[in-house]
Amino acid sequence: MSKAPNKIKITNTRVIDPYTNFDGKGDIYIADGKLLSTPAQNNKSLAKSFSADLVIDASEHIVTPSLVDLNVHLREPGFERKATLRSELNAAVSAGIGHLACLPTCKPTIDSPSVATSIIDKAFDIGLARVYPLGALTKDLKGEHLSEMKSLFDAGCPALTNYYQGIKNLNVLRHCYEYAATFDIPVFIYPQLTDLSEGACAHEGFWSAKLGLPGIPETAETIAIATHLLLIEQTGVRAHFSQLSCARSISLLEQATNKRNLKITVDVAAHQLFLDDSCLESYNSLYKLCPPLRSQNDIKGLLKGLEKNVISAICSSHQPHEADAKLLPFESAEYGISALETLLPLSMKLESKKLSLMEILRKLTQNPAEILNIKRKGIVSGEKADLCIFNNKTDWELKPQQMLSAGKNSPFAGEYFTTRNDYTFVEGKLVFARNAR
Amino acid sequence: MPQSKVSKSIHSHDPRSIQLNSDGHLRHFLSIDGLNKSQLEHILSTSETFIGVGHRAIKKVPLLRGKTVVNLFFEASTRTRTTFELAAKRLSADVLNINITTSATSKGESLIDMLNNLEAMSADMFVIRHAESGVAHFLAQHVGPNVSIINAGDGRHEHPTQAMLDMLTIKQHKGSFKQLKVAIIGDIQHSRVARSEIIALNTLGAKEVRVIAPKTLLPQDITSLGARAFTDINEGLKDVDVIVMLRLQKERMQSALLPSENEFYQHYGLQESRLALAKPNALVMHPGPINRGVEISSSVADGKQSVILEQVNNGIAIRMAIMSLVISGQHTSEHNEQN
Repeated sequence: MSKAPNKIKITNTRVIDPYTNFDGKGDIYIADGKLLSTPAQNNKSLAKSFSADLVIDASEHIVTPSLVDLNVHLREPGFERKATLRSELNAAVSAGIGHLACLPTCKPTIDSPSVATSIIDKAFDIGLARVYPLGALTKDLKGEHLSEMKSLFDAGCPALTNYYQGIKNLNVLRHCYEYAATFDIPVFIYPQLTDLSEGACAHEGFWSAKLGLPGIPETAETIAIATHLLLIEQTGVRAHFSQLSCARSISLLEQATNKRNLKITVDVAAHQLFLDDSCLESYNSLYKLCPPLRSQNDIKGLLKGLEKNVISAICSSHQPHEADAKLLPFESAEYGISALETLLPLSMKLESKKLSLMEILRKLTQNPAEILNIKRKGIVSGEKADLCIFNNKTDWELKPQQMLSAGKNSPFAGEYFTTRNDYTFVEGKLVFARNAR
Repeated sequence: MPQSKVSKSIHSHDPRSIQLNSDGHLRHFLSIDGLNKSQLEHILSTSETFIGVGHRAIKKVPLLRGKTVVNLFFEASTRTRTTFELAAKRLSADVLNINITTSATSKGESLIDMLNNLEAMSADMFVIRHAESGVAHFLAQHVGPNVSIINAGDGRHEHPTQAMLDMLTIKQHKGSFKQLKVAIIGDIQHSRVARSEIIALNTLGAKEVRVIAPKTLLPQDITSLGARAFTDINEGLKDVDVIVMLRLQKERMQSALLPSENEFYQHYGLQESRLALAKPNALVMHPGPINRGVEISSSVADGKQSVILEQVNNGIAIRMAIMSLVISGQHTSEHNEQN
């Protein structure tokens, strides 16, 4: 895009806005990055006088607020051989993701305000998607000393986490939660008990038994959840459980929210809703994930959790890798998939699984935004344009060489999707337009 | 739903098909899983033709003359490595043994690079043992078209040549598998031998395969693999025709899976009184090496019903059979490619 268009008209489109529960058709007018007229609040006088620099014919498209992704490994600083901020933010906006939380597992870890600030600033300079670093809960994620939690929070970390580096000493964990609760800092929890998962790499069940892969039992997740729930109750910390994988976990969390009135939120990675442990059959390391792919029964449980709104957000759990990290026997290969570019296409497939379009998009936009405390009001006049415009009646094949992420490690390579994002606006700026490439 | 149809074909692979060429002949030998009854029977009957070779004055046949076999053992082994070496030499192949502790992988070279280098020296076959499950499959997916991989044990997954030599031993003594009840005793959880044997016995039509162990040494879903689980050895041994003992590794005591060797021997050791519960002519087998007084008493290991040393001898014939089948499978696939 040579010159940024100032006045933009999006015509004949369908708007689905979870913020206002609006689902309807019409035109959108944008000037100076702000929404002037939307199908919900149609300003008829504007239509005549508006001379657009850019008209986007979106008659085949759906417009929704830009997606918010709670779980992204950006790899920079420290692992630039895998990916860089620029490469991944570029991939994010191409996929409709305008805001994303990155994990503190870079090198150095995000355990000091200066690291957090440098990531935020660099992302701001790149100017594509907004980045919200999740700070480390303990120094260097070692689980021994509290990090400078309040300073990290003030530096722009919307929440803190120790990721999968579990805190073995429950006294340390308790103090982390007490200190976080003092300043009302939310924590992200990745429930997996190291004692039950160390050295293992597959869901414990039929396939781990058959393939001879050391198994991670369901209890590695459920016992961790139970422990955290009791400490959350005791300390009053605001908590978000991330990347659940077991059906049993959902019933534990449902109980906690309904019967014990705990204010917790929960997310799931999109691929966890579609792939089960039978994918491991050929020892393909692209399916090596943390948490592991579990059973069909677990998938059913997770889907029910989405339906009942126990799970309020869907994330990508994006982990880009260089080819060599996966060109290894299963047990030695690294964890994770490159998932930014499949977040929306996969999530849209949930429409056939009892979830309405409005609910799917809510779990990709409004709910995760609220978890990160991103203040948006949706697609209403006066708001900055913060949108994605996607086609959900197309037919395209995911080809690794065409992925914009530096990590081509997607097990969905070769799969056909019907949904594809074509335009993304972030905080008033058009940052991605597929046709302009 | 459009997803299900498409994703099924993408996310489900038949990993076992890589060990067969387009004619359905062995091209690699990676796992018992994926081979059918007639394929296993063919291996057994081929091996029977090689048994005599060891008794000749000149213990050689020229089937692998001019071929190079590389024994790539990433884990210690005496029996398996030496019988593979002998088998290859009796087939007239050139044999290279790679000592992994002094090899390049300890200098950081990747498994793939190491294999590529050896392949560049025109090796025709790699016999691989590795501590990780799936390594043989992984390498078979990455080698060139004129190279075969033989799995000599991958992690906890499979040890298919061991299973086949045991099948040969059973066949020699029992004739057919049809009416047989077989009990496998010991550390099923960590045993690649157990997995291969359960599949081989089921494929060959055994009446019942039992596994006997305390719950700490039994995998979660063992029944769906085709074995009946017993935690009481006395119950499990009742009326069986074949007993396969597994070696108990000392590390298991340290990792809190078992209290002590002594307690294991008391409750799961094969002693004469327990052997009496099986059928009178029941075979006693063990893949070795034996821990006397831990999983088996000396009187049983050296007793009349023990066929442990026959197993070792059969190991050479089985490995000759598999190597020769795999090499001819290579040729048919080459032939097909030329056509």
